[in-house]
Amino acid sequence: MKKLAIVLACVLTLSCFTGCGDKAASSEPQIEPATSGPAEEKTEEATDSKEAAEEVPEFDTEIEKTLYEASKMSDEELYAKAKEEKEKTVVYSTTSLAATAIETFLAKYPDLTIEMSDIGEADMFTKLSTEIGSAADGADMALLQNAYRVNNELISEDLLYNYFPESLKGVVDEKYQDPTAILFVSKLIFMNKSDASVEDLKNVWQLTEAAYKDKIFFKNPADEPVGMNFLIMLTSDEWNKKLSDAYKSYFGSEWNNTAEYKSCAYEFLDKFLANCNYTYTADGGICGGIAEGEPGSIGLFVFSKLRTNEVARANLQIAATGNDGAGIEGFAGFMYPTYAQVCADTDTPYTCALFINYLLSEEGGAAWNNADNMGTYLSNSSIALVPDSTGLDKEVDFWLDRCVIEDGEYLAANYADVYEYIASRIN
Amino acid sequence: MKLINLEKIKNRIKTYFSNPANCMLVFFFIVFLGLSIYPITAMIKEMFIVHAGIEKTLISAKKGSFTFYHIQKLFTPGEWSVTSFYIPFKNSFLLGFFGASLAIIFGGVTAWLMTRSNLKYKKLIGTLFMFPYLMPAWTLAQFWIYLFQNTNVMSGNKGIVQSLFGLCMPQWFVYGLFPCVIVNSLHFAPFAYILIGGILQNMDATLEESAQILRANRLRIVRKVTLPIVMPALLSTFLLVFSSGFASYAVPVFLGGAVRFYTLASKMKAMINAGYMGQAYIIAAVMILCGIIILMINQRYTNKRRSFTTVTGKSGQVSLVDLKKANGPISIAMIVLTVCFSVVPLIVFALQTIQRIPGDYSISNWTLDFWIGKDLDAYKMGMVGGILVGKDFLMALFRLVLLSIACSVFAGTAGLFIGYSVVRNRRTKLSKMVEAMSFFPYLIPTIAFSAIYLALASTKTFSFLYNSFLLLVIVGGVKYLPFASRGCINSMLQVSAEIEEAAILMKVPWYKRIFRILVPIQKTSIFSGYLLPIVSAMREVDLFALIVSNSSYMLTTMLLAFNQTGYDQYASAITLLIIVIVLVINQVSSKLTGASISQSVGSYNKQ
Repeated sequence: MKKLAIVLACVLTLSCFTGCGDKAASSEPQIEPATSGPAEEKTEEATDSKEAAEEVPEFDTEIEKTLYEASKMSDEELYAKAKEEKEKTVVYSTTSLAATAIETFLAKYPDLTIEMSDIGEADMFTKLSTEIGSAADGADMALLQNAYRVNNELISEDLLYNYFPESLKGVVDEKYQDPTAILFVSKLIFMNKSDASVEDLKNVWQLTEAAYKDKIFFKNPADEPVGMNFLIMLTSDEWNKKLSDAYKSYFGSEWNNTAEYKSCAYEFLDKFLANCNYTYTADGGICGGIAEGEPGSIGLFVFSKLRTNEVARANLQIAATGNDGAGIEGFAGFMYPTYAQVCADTDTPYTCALFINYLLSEEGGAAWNNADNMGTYLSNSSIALVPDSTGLDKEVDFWLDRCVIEDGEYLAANYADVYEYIASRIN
Repeated sequence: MKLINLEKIKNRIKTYFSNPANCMLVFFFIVFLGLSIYPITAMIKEMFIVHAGIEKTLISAKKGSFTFYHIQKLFTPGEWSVTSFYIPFKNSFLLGFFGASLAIIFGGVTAWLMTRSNLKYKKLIGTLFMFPYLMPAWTLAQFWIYLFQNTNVMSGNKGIVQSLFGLCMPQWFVYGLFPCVIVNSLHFAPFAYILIGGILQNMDATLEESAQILRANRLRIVRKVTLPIVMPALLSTFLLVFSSGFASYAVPVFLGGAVRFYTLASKMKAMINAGYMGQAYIIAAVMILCGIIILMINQRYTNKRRSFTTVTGKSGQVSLVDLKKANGPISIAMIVLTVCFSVVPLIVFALQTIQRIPGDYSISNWTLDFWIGKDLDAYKMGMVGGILVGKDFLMALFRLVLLSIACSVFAGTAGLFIGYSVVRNRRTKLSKMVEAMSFFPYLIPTIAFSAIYLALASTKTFSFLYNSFLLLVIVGGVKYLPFASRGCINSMLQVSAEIEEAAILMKVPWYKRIFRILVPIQKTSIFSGYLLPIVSAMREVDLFALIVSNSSYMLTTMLLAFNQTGYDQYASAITLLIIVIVLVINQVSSKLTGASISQSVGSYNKQ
């Protein structure tokens, strides 16, 4: 054993000098710089003749330039270009319904080859940051969530490139065009109302009361990054103001800065987190658990869980529509986008672009926007929500008004500070 | 003069490498050096660089630049270090310590009753007692919640005990350190039972009989004779179980999350989720360091124990203690206890799989859709579509079985050659080093282990491994190599060198000596060395999650996805299927070859 210690000690010392070999050298994407070859000249000519007045931005890589050009093409043009790409396109996705979209996409564009890998959220970032730019033959594009990590670990490091079609600029809100959001998922506040005498939720500050100690079921935000993002977003000016207004209406007085808390939102976080219960490790568990549990229990979980659980539909009240239709003051839950991004080392940029166009269309969006699904909303506002079989869902605007939604820019600037504040309260 | 010296050295090298055992030893030394250097250098690098995301923001430095920030942040006393390191470290320590202590008590008492008393129904108790070790530890954790959750604590849902007896256990009993300790100790009690039982069975009974003749009472005999003899085995078992409990991840996640009970492993995962990669790797390094220390202590005590085994010999006759009137009640109590933690969990998991709405036990809620339902598309939505008729499920099951067998062949065969080369060079420094280094993969936390190999497969040299089945086999094989190599070293130690020497005189080539002489002699224990990697791979979840190309690739990664999305019925069905397959493999191999998991585990401590 002594020998093992000696060997390991030597190895430790040695390793300080050796670094990590190939991987270190290849940690940045190996992307060929934009060249001025014949293909490029041709494209430039075409662009010049079409839009002589428009200024073409400068690009660091060929892929970025291709995606920019693709954004101006029609689907037919993209299909023609995509057919020239010989490689198979691999899509990493955190949403399993992307498989359905791929199926219908391939039915429409039979000459293309596209495959999906269902990857968990936690593993997605490790996989993409490890393989993009390396020798590994991994993903060409990704459908992923978590605005903070997407922006700060992948986009800002030039591992992912954005693509958004010019033709859809009018129907998708500008803030969801870069990075391209294809859909939103909602996590809502629910209350067990199996006993009608239990008072409805009228204000989010109710959730900070001692009566709710351990009665608010929520997936531990340390294990679920979108939950952490939601809590951090509460400290933004917009949501801090909404919380201050709700405070005034609940307590009857303005929120006073007592120096104990940085802002109203910080006080809310402190008291709300003290009441949270992390017994369940999955949303399905929270839904079933509070539906069968005590009247008055609160849950924060994905809306779609209600669709398959009759008991939950019977016993749970959606806070946004409770209180005689007035809903809860403050916020009614949170929403997070699923982004479609192209990997910086893809061999099939045109196929990726065509697939993103498809996902943003009514046809492609039907994988999520159908009567068998709820709680998922397309970012393309020109597509109407297909009512689900339960009749409980509402148009995306209804939820966007009432739910906290991730803002990549705010998260980038404030994540580190607020994360530590929250982490110290959930540990 | 120089030429003569060179010639001498050349001849020495030639002579050394003419012995196949030496060639193997050098080969494995180089392989293990690589297997140690790569993960360690990768980890050390990660501990001292700035990663993209939150670290870049906090440190305000370029990605990849050198920093001491992570070390300072994690260890400098303050709220962050207390919640992120010191408390999880304390929790891991307590979990390891009390888990190991209780495992020794449960396993030790059972071992004594089974080997030293006339307890009834020994065969049945012995078989059932092994079940918790064959089941993944987190399934027991889940079972504990189903059993004891009640309306007074946390979820407020009724558990089995409250439903049947109206009994509400307090919160500390249902969530936190206490249940984690109990579940870990139940999981590892069979481990202690096998190790201590092995020593008790081989102990010279005349020592106890002499004490009896000298009129020492039973308690005094146990205290003064039995315990000192098994003490090194107890310590060794304690340290091995402590090490596993210390690095435990899944059990604290299930039973600790509700009351914010974090261990080092669960904290490391939370750090990775938040993008604090540097600190996550430091925690992994601390866990490895603790593992090495434990291993060194273990080695010291194992060496000490050798002096005992030279004094004692296998007793021809063991006089069993007559439990008299207590025999019946003790036997029944043992059966009830073992059934509670072996058969009942299986029944509960089976019931879970037939509930349309989880938690509703009424017959009207029963369905076989999750097993044999035919609407295959619907399973993605948590509806029907049974695991026994879904092509995806069956392929995932096939891949899991194939991978488990491949890992076992990889680890078992490498273990066989390691065992042979180490034992044949027993007294050399190189042999001792290879033996010690073969344990290294066991010490690396699973999540860090797979992340390191994912990065390795992304390099130009090894890119052919990326997303391949071969990578899974290598990762699994290397991770389970310690099990196999330990087992084979011990089985080779039991074979006298004279047998092989006779074959050498007859000019029998080395491979024939191994496969025609040594393997047939020790086939049962060698096959047991193959069995433990199969069982470990079958129930492994975290190791392969990151390196599979798709979460539906294998049954266990599929299980993880169902657990994360909360489709309990599918998760329970897969869990049940895995447990049943493991039990069947163990029983079949026991019947066919005489090899079983109990032999695989037992071989750890026979040095």
